[in-house]
Amino acid sequence: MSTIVPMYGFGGGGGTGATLTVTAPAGVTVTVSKDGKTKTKVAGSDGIVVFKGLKSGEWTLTITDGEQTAQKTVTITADYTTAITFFSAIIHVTYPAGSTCTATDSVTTLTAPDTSGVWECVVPNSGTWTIIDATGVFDSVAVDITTSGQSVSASLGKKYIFKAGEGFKVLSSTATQKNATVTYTNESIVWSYSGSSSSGYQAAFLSTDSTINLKNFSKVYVNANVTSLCPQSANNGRIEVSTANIAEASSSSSITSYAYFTADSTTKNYALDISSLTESYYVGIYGGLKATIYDIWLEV
Amino acid sequence: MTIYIDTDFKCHTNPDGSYIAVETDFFAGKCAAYIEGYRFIPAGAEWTRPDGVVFHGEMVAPWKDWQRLDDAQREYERQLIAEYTEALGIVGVSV
Repeated sequence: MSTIVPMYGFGGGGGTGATLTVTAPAGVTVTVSKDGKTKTKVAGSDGIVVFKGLKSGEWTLTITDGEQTAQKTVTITADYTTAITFFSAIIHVTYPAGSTCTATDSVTTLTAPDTSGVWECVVPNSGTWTIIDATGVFDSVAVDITTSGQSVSASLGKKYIFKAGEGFKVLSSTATQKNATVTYTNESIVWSYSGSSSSGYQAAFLSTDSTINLKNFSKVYVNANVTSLCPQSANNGRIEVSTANIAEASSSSSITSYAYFTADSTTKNYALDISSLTESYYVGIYGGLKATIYDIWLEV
Repeated sequence: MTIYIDTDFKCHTNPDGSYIAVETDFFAGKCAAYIEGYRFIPAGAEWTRPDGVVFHGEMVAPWKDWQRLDDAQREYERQLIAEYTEALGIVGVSV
């Protein structure tokens, strides 16, 4: 790791040098060295160590407690404050370019240096780190860091409507006609129909209560295990995006796009392309099917 | 109604000899501009988007900005109403 710090007034050969303030674990030996010159101090109970009169240039900062050592490089051009710990783990974060991304463990908050969409986030301690999109468009992602040196990946870019284990994350409602049922827990949504050609097959509906702006997303996914589809093709289950609340007023004129489920008794993802839907719409499921639905989400 | 899809599953309202004919009720009452802004992947077929994401049929989704398609459809419906109103006026029916 290298950090460049401007040293106004300490260029060339003039001045008395810069002050480097280091925050380190209490009691460790802190060393700065450059061109064979070394300064060593021991961090007090507050962990603060101050080195004065440092010439501009690249300094190596080292801490040791006799058992473990950590090191970083600091390029000094002015007074500077830095922190160093024995713990270091990396979260390789990918997020939608243009967003501001942060990582927090509720005590420390780190911010991505740019909005490029890629961030090598170095965290200084273990715990649960939550990766957050500052715009709130995308769901945050929690990452458990347990050991120094750990390297994990995390990706932002999803927004869950229903998530297995958490239930509905976007307020949604269901409605049923005769011979159709929808029940749900936080783990799943169980969808069913009954009836016959003489008694009739009816549909069930699920819809977000409000529209969702889809401009940042390009697909809707539903993870489900579908065991049966209604024999009446008009009532076959499908993912829908509509200009009207699917649970209240589904009609062919309000549907902008759909993708049918298939009944093969395997748990898999069903996808609907929404890349050309750039405004706000209702997202839901329509139809007669027997299925267990685990997740419904939007993705970039 | 019958629509026609090309090798990229884009919809057309007229055949050109190479398109595949598809029957669907989804576009009933829609104008050509609306229909031709859509992609129709029939059941059993799959379409791979340029970013590599695979979508399975049956799926119907716009490939042009849907808001523009909706604008075209609304204009089409306005023109139809105007034509009907004019025709009714000719035969002496006021609306």
